[in-house]
Amino acid sequence: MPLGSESGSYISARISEYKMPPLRDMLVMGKDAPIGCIAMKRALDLLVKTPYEHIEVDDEVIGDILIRQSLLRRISKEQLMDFVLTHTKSLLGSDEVLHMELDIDVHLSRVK
Amino acid sequence: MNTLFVRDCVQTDLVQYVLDEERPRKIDKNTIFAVFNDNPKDGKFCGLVTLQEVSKHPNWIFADLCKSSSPIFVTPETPIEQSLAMLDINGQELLPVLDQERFAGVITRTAIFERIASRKQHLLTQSHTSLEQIEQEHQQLLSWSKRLEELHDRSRDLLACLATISAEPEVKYQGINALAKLVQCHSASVQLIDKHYSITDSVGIGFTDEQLSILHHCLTLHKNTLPETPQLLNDLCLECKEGSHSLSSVLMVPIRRDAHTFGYILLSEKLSGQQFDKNDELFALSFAHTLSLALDNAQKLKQVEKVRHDLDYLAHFDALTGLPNRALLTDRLQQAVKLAAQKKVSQALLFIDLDDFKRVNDSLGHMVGDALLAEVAKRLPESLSKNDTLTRFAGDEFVVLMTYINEPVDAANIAEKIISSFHQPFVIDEHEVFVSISIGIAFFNEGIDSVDQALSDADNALRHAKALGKNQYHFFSDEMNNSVQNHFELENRLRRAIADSELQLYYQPKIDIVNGDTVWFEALLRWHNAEPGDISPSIFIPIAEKSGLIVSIGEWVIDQACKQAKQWLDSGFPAHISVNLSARQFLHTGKPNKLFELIEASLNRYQLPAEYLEVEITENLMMHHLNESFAILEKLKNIGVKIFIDDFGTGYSSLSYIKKFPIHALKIDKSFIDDLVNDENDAAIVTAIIAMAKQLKLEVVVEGVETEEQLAFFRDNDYAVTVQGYYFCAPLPANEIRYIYQ
Repeated sequence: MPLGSESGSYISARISEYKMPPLRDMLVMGKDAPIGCIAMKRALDLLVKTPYEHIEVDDEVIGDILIRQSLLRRISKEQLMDFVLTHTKSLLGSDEVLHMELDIDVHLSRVK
Repeated sequence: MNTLFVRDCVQTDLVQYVLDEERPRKIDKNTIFAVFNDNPKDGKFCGLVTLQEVSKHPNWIFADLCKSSSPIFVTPETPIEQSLAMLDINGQELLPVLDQERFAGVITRTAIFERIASRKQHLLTQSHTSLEQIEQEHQQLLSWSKRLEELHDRSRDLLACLATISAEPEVKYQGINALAKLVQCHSASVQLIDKHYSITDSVGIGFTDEQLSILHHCLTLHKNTLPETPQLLNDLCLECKEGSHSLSSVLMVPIRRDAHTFGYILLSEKLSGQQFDKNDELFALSFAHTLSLALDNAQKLKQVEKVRHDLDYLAHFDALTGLPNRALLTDRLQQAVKLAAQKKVSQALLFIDLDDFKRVNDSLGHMVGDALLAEVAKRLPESLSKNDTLTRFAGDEFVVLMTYINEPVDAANIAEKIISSFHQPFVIDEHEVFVSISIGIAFFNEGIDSVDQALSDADNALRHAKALGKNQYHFFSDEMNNSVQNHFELENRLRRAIADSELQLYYQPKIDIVNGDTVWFEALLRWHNAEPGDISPSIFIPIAEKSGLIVSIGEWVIDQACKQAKQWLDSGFPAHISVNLSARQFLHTGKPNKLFELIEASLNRYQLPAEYLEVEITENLMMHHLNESFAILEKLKNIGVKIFIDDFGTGYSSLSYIKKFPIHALKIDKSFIDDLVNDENDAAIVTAIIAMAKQLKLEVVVEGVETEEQLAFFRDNDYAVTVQGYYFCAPLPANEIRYIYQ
């Protein structure tokens, strides 16, 4: 758009379908996140039917984890905590909230 | 010190109640948020949020802010120390206080410290106050202690006075004195009054008689309106108001008990110059109360004593005659039984009964009969001695108990005397009543051994006397009746013996052992009666003594002895004659000089020089009648009559009296001579008497020498004594003596 004496406004919009819920699998909340995890959980509880589990984390950066409860059927809390602390801690500021989508493949084999 | 609890420092004023879903908005510096679920009042308590937590996450809701708050809480009953420990352990500054799961406030470290500090401050202040109070109380106690000590001293004085139950003057004086010291007043007095309000006793200190008189006059005027409690007299009447008694204040305390006013206590002039206070009134009232008890007690005791005395009198004495009654007689008889058991003394019981008393009653009436009995009761004692117990036994029966009596004849003599005393009529009103009596006598040689037996014996004797014709006495046993009868028969014979010339003097010589000369003759009385024949002196002399005949017989003996001595002297036989004197002669009719006059008259009558007459008196007579005997013996000695002490050694002589008495010689009793040869003790006694007499320059006469051996004892020992006895010569009539010595 050329520069001129007249002023104008341009609106650019990216429209997509609002997805319910706004998060799929998990939120990792910094220790000083602008919203507390209880407030977040209550908001989720109001928005979606799917229940989320709250996991408190004893760490200097990560404060809490909110995870879709059904995922915990395929991975234990300990495995999840280990995964989060190992791979996401460096990506997260203590005042941020990260939205994560998880792909969990379970390999099953039978040993005779 | 009490323990502090959480409830003592719980805080609610800083607490803001919020919902967990809210966000902090307006924040005060000291605000503490109490977070609740659903409802700030009734909802579930979630935790506490402080400014610090809010400042960290200003956008968080309270639910998130209090998420990290401690679940630890305290209750109002948790002790402060425990709360502090919990704060320390958890590194917190405050804790919620839950009371039965409901939020009650918060407790902060600061609040706790402030509370502790406040408490300490309070305690410190209290300690200071307490110390001051203690100091004050200590001073007060010291003051009270001193006062109490004084009170104790006074109370002790007072109590000591009141310890006695009586109200003796000394007690009242000490009591009122102690009260005056107790209430610290100048004047105090106890005034006792009778039913007419007249003063019967006044004891006290300080008051003048005039003041007491004015006060008593005042009290008398108001006697009907006097209060029963302590009263200030200055308010009572005009005279007191005007101060006639010149006393600034007078406290009157009545002494009352059971509606009876014994008197009053007066107190005046406190030493401090103050008015009497309640304490003074209480002290005085207490004293008055105790004094009233003592007075009441004394009065009752007096009444009880009188009643007891009356009862005792009625129980033991006869109301009509005033004599001891049957009960008292029984008691005395029991005592007599005990006395007899101990000493075996002779006793007698006389049962006396008025003859035909019934006739007096029937003819003159019972009033006269009673009056007669009363008069009889007065007349009977005239015949008795003070040792006899006269009792009215029953009706017209009287009993006399004689516990000090020698032989039956003594009882008989008393009975005779009583019967004789009834020969005089009794004058009752205008009646002249003649009445005779009969007496039964029970005599017990070794005393009464049974009360019933004694009464029975005397009663039986009385019946016998009645049966024999009344107006006489009778002994219980025939033996005694005979004995007494013989006694009186003999007495009657003896009475006539002098006139009938039945008495005669025999003479026994006394011989000087040294030269064999007869130096004296002892005149000895003999009685020959035609009917019974010769009667032994041992029988008739006691009768003569008892009947008093010994006095006239003694006169006769002295007269005859003087007459004989004079005859012998005139016939050229200058013999000395000694006569025995009895106690009766010394005491004759109460004229001690009578005996001397008698002897002097006999000497004069026969012109006999006194040196030819000697008198012998027994040791017992001399010692028992010292005054009478000494005067007479002194006179006899002065006219030349010699005095011998007869039966020496058998009585209780005082050597000092022997020395003082005008004695010429001692006669050693025959009882020492009888066994002289065989008994060393008798020999020693005789030797001692001779030695003593020698020292006292007294002659010694030994009587009863009957054997050669006895005589040899004195000869062999060269004892210069005079001997007398059957060994030399029996007592002989005068003519035979004269014949022998011619």
